[in-house]
Amino acid sequence: MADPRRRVRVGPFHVRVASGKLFLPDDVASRIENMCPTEEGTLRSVVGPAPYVPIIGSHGGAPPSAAVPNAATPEYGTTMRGIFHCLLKEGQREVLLLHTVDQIWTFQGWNHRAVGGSAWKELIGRTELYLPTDNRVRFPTQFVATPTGVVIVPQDARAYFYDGEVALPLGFSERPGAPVGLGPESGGYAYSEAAAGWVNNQGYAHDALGGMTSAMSLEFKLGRIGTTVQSGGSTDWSESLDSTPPPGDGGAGWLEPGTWRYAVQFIDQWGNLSPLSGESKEVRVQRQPSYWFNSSAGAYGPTVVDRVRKQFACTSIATGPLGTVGRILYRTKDLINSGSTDFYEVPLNATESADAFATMPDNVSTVYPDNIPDFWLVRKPVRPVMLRPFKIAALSFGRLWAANFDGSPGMVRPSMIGRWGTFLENEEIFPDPEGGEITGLLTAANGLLVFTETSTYRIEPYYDGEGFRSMSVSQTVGCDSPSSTQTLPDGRSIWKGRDGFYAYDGTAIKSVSHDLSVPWKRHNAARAKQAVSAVDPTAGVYRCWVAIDGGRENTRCYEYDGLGWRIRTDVAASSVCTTKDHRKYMLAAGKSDTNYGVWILDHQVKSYEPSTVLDRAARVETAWISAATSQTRKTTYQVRLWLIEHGSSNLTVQVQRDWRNTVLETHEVPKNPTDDAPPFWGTAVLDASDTTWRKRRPYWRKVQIYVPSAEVFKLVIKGSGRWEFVGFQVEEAQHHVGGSRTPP
Amino acid sequence: MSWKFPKHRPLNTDVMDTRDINETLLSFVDEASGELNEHNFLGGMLTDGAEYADDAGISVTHFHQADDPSWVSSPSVQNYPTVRMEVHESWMPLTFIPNIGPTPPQMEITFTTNGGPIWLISSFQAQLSSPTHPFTDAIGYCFALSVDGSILYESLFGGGDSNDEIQSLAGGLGTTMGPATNGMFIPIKLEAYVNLAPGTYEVRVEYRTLKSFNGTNPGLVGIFSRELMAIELAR
Repeated sequence: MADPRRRVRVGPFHVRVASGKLFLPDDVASRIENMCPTEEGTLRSVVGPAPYVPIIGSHGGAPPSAAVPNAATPEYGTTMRGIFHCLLKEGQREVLLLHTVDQIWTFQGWNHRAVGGSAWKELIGRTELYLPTDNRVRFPTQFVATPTGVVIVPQDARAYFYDGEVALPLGFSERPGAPVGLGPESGGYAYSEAAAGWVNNQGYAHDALGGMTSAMSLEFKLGRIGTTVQSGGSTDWSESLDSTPPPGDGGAGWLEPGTWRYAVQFIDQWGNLSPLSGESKEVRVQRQPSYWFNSSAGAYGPTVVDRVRKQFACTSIATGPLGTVGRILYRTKDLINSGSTDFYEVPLNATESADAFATMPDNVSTVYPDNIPDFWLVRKPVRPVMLRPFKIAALSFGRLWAANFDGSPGMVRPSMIGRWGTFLENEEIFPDPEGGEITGLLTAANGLLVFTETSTYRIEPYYDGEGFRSMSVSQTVGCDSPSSTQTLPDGRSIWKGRDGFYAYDGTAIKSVSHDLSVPWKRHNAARAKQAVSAVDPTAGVYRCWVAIDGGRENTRCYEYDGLGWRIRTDVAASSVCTTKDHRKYMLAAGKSDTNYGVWILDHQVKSYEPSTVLDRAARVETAWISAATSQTRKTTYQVRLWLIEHGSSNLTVQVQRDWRNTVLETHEVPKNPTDDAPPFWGTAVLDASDTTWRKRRPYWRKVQIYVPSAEVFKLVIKGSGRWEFVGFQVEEAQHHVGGSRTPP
Repeated sequence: MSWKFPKHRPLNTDVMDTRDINETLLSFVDEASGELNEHNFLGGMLTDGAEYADDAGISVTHFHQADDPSWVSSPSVQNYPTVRMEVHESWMPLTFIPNIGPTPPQMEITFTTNGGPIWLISSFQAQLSSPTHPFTDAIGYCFALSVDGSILYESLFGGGDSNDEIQSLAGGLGTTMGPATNGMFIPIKLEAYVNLAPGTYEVRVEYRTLKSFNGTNPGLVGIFSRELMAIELAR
């Protein structure tokens, strides 16, 4: 028998992360699967998931699923595209959105009943706008929370905005039709002692020249539009009109020839602006003396020049699409006399009012009588572009940044501040000079990171605060999946590139996934862009789901705690999110067992416990122990496992040796210290003398193994149900120690 | 918050641990003590709210509608509304006394609020000139809401636009007319959004008159169909 005094105890090893490398330190595992870090610093087996909306007694407690989803039942679609949670209205409105097949649902917990109500309501469906139904590889649906609502970016469709009550297409994808300006026309140029046949006296002719057909009721007072000069010489008259001056000419003043144009712009209920319409045709006035005529009294003669100014009207003003709440009317100043060809906003009225967000605070009327003088026109229009569908968005610098537009995959545009659907012309940026497709946006420590698949750029404001500039961060590292971008609890940015995960601390990009090089080979690169991720603030880990082994669904989750990686397989997540409230739940839209739905991770409920949940194996697979000294053979006699008591069932410990994936020994290890067993649910007797409440204790458990004269060996510790791992310790003897090698 | 899930699901054969029980119960107790939200209450459970739409907010309305006297028809008063305001160049409540005619009901609301956003709205009609003598005794007016005597200028109606001054038929400056709001039987709406601290407030409609360019300012204004309301906006 070997001399126990010659044995060496190695460890304990508190393995917490895994690596695919062949030669590893003994305290790094070669694989950790379905084990999650705890607040106490141990690893606990993953439990759950639980359906977020339970249906008791149906499908094992999970709502059913079908090719065509039905929110009212509810019945989830078998294709999940996105899930998102946020708080709106200063935290008073909790919003949970789900995109399944071609429908976007919103959560309404107040309507959840066992019978006759559903916690989901269809918010956007095919009746509103086409959303794709096929399963082609796309980016997951992107969501951006803003202070006023959620920007929803389905792929290959228009973006939407949801404020917690109403969901409508984001911004405007159309340009209003040009309005028609109405003004006076001239019936003639010869003066006769009659109202008709006078200059600027027909058509839409309204002024305050008493006696003329253009004269308004005095209650309407004066027209305000037109450039006037105070002259009055008789030569003015004869030089301007082809007749002799009328009696009593003195011409208190003259209206100068002038032209004006109109344009219109939609505004929606969230303040988004449409592009400006085309310009109207000109409204024209001709040179005219301020001259009044009273045929009944036989009075006539010059009058104050204010009376010759006109009122115009604008008609055929386009009405906007659903969601439009007003139209802003624009007009030029007198194009002949003002020296400006710019458009200016026509104010609503002479006074301020709560309705003054637009010239026309409605979406019904098509006519606007305009008596706004040129000198009230001070505010020039902003010039938004028509909003084309885009694929990616992020919020940064108080603006929504949209990227990867239809027809311009390399373009990034910032919205106006606070107007998430209004993108101004000439503000677009092409970070990649080659126009590479934008594959991700992430607000980072010192700017907005913009990714293509193979490069990274940073957008930041110019030093003077006007405009933005783009600069290259890396020309070799990019991001292939927009939903893989997150910010780690330590402040670093993290994302998935073509060949691994990368982190950015504000100064440099570093690879953080060298340990995943081997498992990375199993990735389904064709499905790389559908990877999804979220950060679990409770566990302090980043999780990213990817498709592997040629599969179409994201069945593997990589979990990163800032130090290393683990693997989870509890759900196949098509999209994930973390609730933004104090619950900090991680929700996944995807598949558990054979059920599609919305799942809350790391929680288990009685109503949903299929065998795949109850019997799912969690495992810790050690490195090849003593690989660095494998040239010296060793004999291993004993392993001590350090565990936390959790149940009355057993764990399995398997032993492999010498780089071969062959199980030599299998041992059963109780999940509790059997010599001092704690009380268990189901068997403990209430109020019995030996039943006491107590905290779960750590304990050591010896496993007698025998691995003689091995170069290296490995332990595979696995079990279903709940168990908790602290570490292990190995007792071995060097080959050269000699003596008997009889098994103990 | 919203829906909560038990933090631990105890299974038979699992070790009994006080922390599991405490953490599972606490997660619900915490919510019930202050984090419940709209998702925790079954729609329709409040019978008083059955008339509301699903997404309706909760509001409290303080409303006042004046019971205005009938119009008087006699040559001397020229078909004025009974409530008539006199010239006053500083802000005065619409019911400033003395007025011509009987003492009208107050155009004001006094209410107590728990604080928060308040939407103040007033609407009425004003006869700013006489149908029979339209240009002899009307004048320009401004109207505004006030809270505890402080004018809310965002509710101001009627400005100083000189183009509004009616002039004589043959030209020249107006004789008796003033700038600001003018016209016959015009409907007027005043509104303002204010955030008020908890307390009791008095909301009024106030007016003032502006002189015409020629310096004259005679005239009266008739007010009728008066309403004033304050809506407390809350969820």
